[in-house]
Amino acid sequence: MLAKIISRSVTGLFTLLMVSLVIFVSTQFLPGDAAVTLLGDNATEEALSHLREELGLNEPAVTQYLRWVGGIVQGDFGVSQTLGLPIGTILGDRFIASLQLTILTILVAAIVAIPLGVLSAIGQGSTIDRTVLSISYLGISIPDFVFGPLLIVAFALPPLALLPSSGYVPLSDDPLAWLRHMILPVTALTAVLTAHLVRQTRSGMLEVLKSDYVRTARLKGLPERQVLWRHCLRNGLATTLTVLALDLGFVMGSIVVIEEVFAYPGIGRLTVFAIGDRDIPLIQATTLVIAATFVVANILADIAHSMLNPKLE
Amino acid sequence: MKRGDIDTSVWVGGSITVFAVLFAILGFFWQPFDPLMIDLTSRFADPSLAHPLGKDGFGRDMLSRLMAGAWKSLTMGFGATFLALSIGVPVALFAGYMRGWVDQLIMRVVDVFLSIPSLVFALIIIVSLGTSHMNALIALGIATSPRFVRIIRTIVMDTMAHDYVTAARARGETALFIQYREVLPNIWPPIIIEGSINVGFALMAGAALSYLGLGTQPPAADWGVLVRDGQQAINQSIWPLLGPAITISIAIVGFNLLGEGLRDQIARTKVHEHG
Amino acid sequence: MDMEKLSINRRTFTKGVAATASALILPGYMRQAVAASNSGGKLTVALFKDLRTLNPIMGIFGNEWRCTANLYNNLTRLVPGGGVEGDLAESFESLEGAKVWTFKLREGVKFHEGSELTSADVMATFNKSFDPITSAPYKGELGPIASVEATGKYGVRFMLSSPMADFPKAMAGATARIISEAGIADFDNLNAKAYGTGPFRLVDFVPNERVVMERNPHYFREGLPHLDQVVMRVLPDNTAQQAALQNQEVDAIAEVDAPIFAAVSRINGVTGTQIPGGLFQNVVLLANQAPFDNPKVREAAKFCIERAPLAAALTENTGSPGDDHPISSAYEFHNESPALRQANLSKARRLMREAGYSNGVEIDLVVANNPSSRNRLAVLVQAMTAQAGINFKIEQMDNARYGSTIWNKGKKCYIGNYGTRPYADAILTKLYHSRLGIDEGRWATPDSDAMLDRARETIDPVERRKIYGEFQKLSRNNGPFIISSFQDSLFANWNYVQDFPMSAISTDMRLEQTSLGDGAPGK
Repeated sequence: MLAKIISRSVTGLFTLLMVSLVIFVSTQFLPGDAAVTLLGDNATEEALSHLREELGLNEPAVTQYLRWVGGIVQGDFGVSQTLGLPIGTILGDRFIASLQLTILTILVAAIVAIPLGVLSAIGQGSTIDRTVLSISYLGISIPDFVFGPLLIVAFALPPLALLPSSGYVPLSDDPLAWLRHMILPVTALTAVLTAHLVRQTRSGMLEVLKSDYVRTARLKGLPERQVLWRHCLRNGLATTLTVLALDLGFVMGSIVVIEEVFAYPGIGRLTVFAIGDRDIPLIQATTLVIAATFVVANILADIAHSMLNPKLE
Repeated sequence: MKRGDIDTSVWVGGSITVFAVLFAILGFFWQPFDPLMIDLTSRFADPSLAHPLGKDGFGRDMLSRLMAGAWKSLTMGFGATFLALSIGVPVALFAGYMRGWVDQLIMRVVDVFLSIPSLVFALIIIVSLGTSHMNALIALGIATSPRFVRIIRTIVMDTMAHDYVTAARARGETALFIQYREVLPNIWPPIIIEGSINVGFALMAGAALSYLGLGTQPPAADWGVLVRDGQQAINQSIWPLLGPAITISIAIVGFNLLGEGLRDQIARTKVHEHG
Repeated sequence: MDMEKLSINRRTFTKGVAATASALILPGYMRQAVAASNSGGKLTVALFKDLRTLNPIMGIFGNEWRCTANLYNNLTRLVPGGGVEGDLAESFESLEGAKVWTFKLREGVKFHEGSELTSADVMATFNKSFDPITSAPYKGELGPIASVEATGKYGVRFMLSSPMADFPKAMAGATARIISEAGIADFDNLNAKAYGTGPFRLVDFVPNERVVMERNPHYFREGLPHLDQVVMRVLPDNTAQQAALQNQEVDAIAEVDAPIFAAVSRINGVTGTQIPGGLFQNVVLLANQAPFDNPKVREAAKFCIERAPLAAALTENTGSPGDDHPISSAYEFHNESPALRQANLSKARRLMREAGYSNGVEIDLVVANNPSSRNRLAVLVQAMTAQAGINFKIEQMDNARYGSTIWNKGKKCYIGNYGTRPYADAILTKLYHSRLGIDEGRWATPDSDAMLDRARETIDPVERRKIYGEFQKLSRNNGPFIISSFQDSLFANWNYVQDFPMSAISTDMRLEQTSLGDGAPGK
């Protein structure tokens, strides 16, 4: 098990390094001179070259890359070009805010989706199965940028006006206000994810139900309840866990839109801002952090998967 | 169940898909009114017989805009999927055929790309390409191709184990012949299914990009632009939002039903064949 | 001789204004004494778009100016109705026909960090603004300052390269806030720190999220400000703005997005206020290249625009039609004549034939994403001009790339976006002057420059009005812009918010007089 953890961590680290390279290379192609963007049209050539020097824009790409990665290893993400602040200081709070959103979303989605998916698979073709499937089709088909504003119209505007429409309050400041601010964005995010997860859980379970060893277990004459609990659920859940980790990438994509809709100060909104303003160090940092979260979640899911299901190894 | 029986979901999904495609093709050639013709005297007109979906904030006929937008959105969905497949299938065939360290290397690279959420990946590509309908299509195609490599490679691996491939190898056929004449014809069904599911995803992601102002450019509009415009006008009238929102949702349901239904059906057929 | 006389007039005039200024402050004290219950409390204001820096010299967005207006003071400040009065300056006067300006500073004014305001701070501020390394984006709007010198501990003298009657108004501008010497020394940290004298001190700043300020107990206007705390929150989605106001998460909206104005005004207990403004978006028809190098094609395009319906649609009935020059009715020197140009398609088509474009012409038009009304304007203009064969091909772009590759590069036509300025010269010189401004349409001639110079130097208001009237006519008939509508300044606040600052220049949001009445949740 330890060997597994170590080997997964090493490949994870390698993946991260490659991701950083991909991000760096693709942002190197961005047209527009960062110095011009920063100083605007009234900049003198003198000021421009001064700034280019300061930002290290004159150095070869390889040097820039190595310095960037070296800095990140030491926790230094560079300085945001548009905000003029060290990125580390901006990133921390936003990342924690987004992480809360993501974890809550995953939890809620798992609690709702896994039982529904299992029920639906066991009763394949039944009314429950059909209902769950139809609703989940709706869930994956309504785009988040439509669903979010509809939620605001329904719950934050009169006549209901139940919940705040936007913003974020730190949990430590006021737990109740924190919760009230989380409900709408989490709902918008879970709608899509739950639908997705139900379907994945269902098909995962169906596969297990049809697998040879479940058939063998049945042939051995084990009671159906035991077959379901001991064999199917455990294997099915292991698959679901992996799917859930993969879905984290999905959520990370959705938060870009949802944070914008709910003015939620997370890393997704920071990414959109960075891209809109061509703030290259900030684009690099936010996309790298999003990717790193995804990679780490995958490693954890992988390890949990093999702990739950040593037979598959 | 006999072979050839068709699931309800395939029926429904297939019908919606066919209807959406016909709607888009019709919309490419003809709309009831000029979708760009503004009429500032009838802004936000409610639905009527002449204008069944009402008018938008510039007095443009919503049905005509929806029809013209259908072409843009569906070309985004199909085009991005086609591009993703044209990248994904050859790479998957190559990796699955070569196996060993080549396969390992390719899959590592694929893992790297899969570590960046596809929407974020597409955003980065668009920022460097510039904003247009075509660039959004290219970005989405590139961003979704790694997923295809991963899925199709697994299928290729399975197929490579079949007798007819072993036989072809024994006959001394070339790698290309085996990849494209022996393996590829046998894996079309799963490719088409994954593709049709991806059309729904690409359609939605394309709309999201347009919604963020990074896809189709005005005055043309795909469904994403229409949703954004409708949402901005929600205080004046809900019709400009409802039409496109419902249409895009139904279209995606259609593609998903078709793809999933086909997948289920093929899985069942296989079980029958085996049993 | 004439100049001499004028300068005396000017001196008496400016002194008069400074005297009124102290009189104007008195009612503030009185109110404070009478209604002590008004003081205290927390006011939360919703902002709409970018808020990236608190550096007064480098800020380019309205929200940044709204914040620094409360952390800093200027030498002068605008008064409602178009005048100007001393702020940190006790008095000011002009010499040599408005070519030299002297300001006498108030004594005993303290910066937030404790030091006393002197002429050294004023000089440090302006020297930093004009340092080429700084590349201050709005230094052009500070006026033709040649040099700044101290005339004592509390006296400053500005030498201008050419006379400027509106110089005191330029000193009230958002990028002319007075920063302490210590602040200038710490310039790199001015993004997120405030070294001002303003009524509020900075507590917390998260770029594009929020600014938190608290009452400055040592503020030089005694008894002010009334509020204990001010929070400015950026809410970029208009639906979210509306809901936040409805739920009293915010007490006021500093800049209401036009599509939600009617809805927020309907909220029971909320007042929506609409003040004629001068914010506009101009379609730049570059006069340095085909087809708009031909004045007939520019005129043809202008004859395609149905101005009144376009303005109503674009601003959701919260604006007024424009006539291809930037001087809206919000400006002192706005001229009513000639009458608004009416659309005339047959005339437009005839002009196109005469210009040799009978088969029509295609032109790229670049539109930046923000504000979204630019896109809507592009679509409207595109549909209207297409009828005369002027076919704009719209290209959308993010603001950063637009800013660094398109805006004022004179290469591709685009849609610009300009806020209301405190006086006509600020916007006219900026847009049309080839040396002192950007000549955005690449259209300026020695004659047009000279006309602007003459207006800027003229002190007699009647004569100035005449010159500005002529310039408006010239830019309307021949100029390089389609300016089809002006957006009013829109505000919304709960009725318990008293004396919320509202003027045509909505970015001049000074909250020192604002207070909270009964029923305010922040009290």
